[in-house]
Amino acid sequence: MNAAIETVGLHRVFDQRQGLFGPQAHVVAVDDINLKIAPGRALGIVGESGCGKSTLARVLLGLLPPSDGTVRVDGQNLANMDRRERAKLIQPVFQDPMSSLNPRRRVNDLIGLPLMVQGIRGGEQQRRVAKMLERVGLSPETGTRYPAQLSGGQRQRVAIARALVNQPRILVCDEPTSALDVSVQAQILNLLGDLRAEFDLTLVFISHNLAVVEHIADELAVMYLGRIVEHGPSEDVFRAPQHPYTRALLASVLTPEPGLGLPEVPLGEGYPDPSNIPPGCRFHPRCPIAIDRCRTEPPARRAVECHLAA
Amino acid sequence: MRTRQIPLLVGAVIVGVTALVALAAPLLVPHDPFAQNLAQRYISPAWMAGGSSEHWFGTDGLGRDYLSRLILGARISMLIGVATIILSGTIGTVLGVLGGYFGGKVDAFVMFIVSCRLAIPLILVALTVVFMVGSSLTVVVLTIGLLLWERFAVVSRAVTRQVCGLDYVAAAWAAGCSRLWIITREVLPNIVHHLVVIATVDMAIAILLEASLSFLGLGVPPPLPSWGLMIAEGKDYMYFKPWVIEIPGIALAVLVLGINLLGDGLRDSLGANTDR
Repeated sequence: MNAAIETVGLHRVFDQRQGLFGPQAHVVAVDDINLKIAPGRALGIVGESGCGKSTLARVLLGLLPPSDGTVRVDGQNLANMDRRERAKLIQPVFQDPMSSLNPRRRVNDLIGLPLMVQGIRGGEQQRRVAKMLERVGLSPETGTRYPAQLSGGQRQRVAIARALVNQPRILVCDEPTSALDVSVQAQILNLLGDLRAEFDLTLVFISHNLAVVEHIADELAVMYLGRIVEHGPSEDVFRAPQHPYTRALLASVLTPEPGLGLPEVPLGEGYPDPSNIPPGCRFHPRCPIAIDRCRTEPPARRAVECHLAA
Repeated sequence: MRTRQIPLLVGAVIVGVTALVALAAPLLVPHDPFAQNLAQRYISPAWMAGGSSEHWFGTDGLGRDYLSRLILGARISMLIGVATIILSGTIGTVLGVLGGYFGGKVDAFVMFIVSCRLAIPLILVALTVVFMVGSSLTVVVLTIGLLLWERFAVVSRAVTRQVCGLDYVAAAWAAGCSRLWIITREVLPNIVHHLVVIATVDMAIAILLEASLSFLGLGVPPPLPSWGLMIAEGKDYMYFKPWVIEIPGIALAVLVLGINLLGDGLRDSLGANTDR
């Protein structure tokens, strides 16, 4: 059976010139990522801001071409796919539903757009849009409104309805709850969980919020400076993190108990410049357990990219 | 009514009335605007000594009724303004949206053309064209229209880039929409309110340019009464009969002011209507 999504040696580099005559800087946002997601599984990708997770999502969706490497969706190379074929397989849910919905379109037209592209119009389109509206928990009257007349949670429901109306196999969610109120986040997560089971979806779920990912993901990939430094079943990663970065991330989660103050995070200095990646192990400047070897020699490419992990 | 809507209203009334006068010009003129009467040259307007209600705004150097020429002149000014922005708006928007959407080499090419256009002095080109092919209304519209698109190009490029960075364009692409659909249905409706403002600014500039060209004798050929041409024809009598240039001058200034007020008002009210 084909993997739902498979990436082989995926790279994405951005060229940036600093000033008019400044040197050309290469920002390696995605650095040699090899992923394989089996159909029906949910992969959570976590990491700090700027680690390349959104770039990875855009490359997986085909919105950005990879600088090197390939993305295979259901065994086919994404780059050679017809736009309609691709749209039927893989769909996005973005972070900010205010900017992911065209403000000049009514909700019915927004949800109907993927159907229209496939040539489904008129009554058939209306019927399926109405069904989808109901499925994501919106009233039929919502269909005649504009996005600006809806709340944040309602907008994200519209974005989910649009993504699923054509019954794709894969859903790529890029921080789908980060722009929402905490009270609404849980509703959207539960909705995504229910729809995942109902539509038999493969899910790529990108977030910086570990609690959100734990709730939904079967597998967890931890990204640091464009690379996946730890990858495994999410239960194992949460229970027994191997990479010092994963441990630091888990330690930095805020607890809801009052009086405990902010957690102590052993991450020393700030996030490094992605256009100037440290030699050796890229995590060594911030690593609490780094040894001399870490400063010169990159770790082996395996599930946990650390010299000191078992 | 909110105070910020007052300029919009004033602008809309000025432009609306001028447009109506322009459309209904043949019905409104009290006299034939081309009929000369050398026995009745430079009759003063009705409110000055020697004026009469026969010619409300007096007569010009050839005895033609000044009010009738002013009314027909409104038609010519509005025609030039509208025809020019249709032409220049189309050129500029197509170039700007293509540059903004595709970026990279297409964008570099568009910006190069814009720079070339900015290096061309308008009046000089107009002068050359008129010298080579002679002046007519069509030549004036084509010359101004083909030269006045750079503002449309620069603005539509900038706002297209901004809109293309938004996730709804990404979502449309992921939904399998074609590039043509994305440009015409996702991008254009969301930049059009910026273009309306540019259209008003450029319309005012086009009308003033035509007046300048006519004043230099390079615009609309006589005996068609453009407001600029009326000022040009009256300039020899400026010190003796100042009203000969004051009347078309005030008309021109009020129209341009009205168009600019309308543009400012539209920018404020159209920009806000996405958060209904």
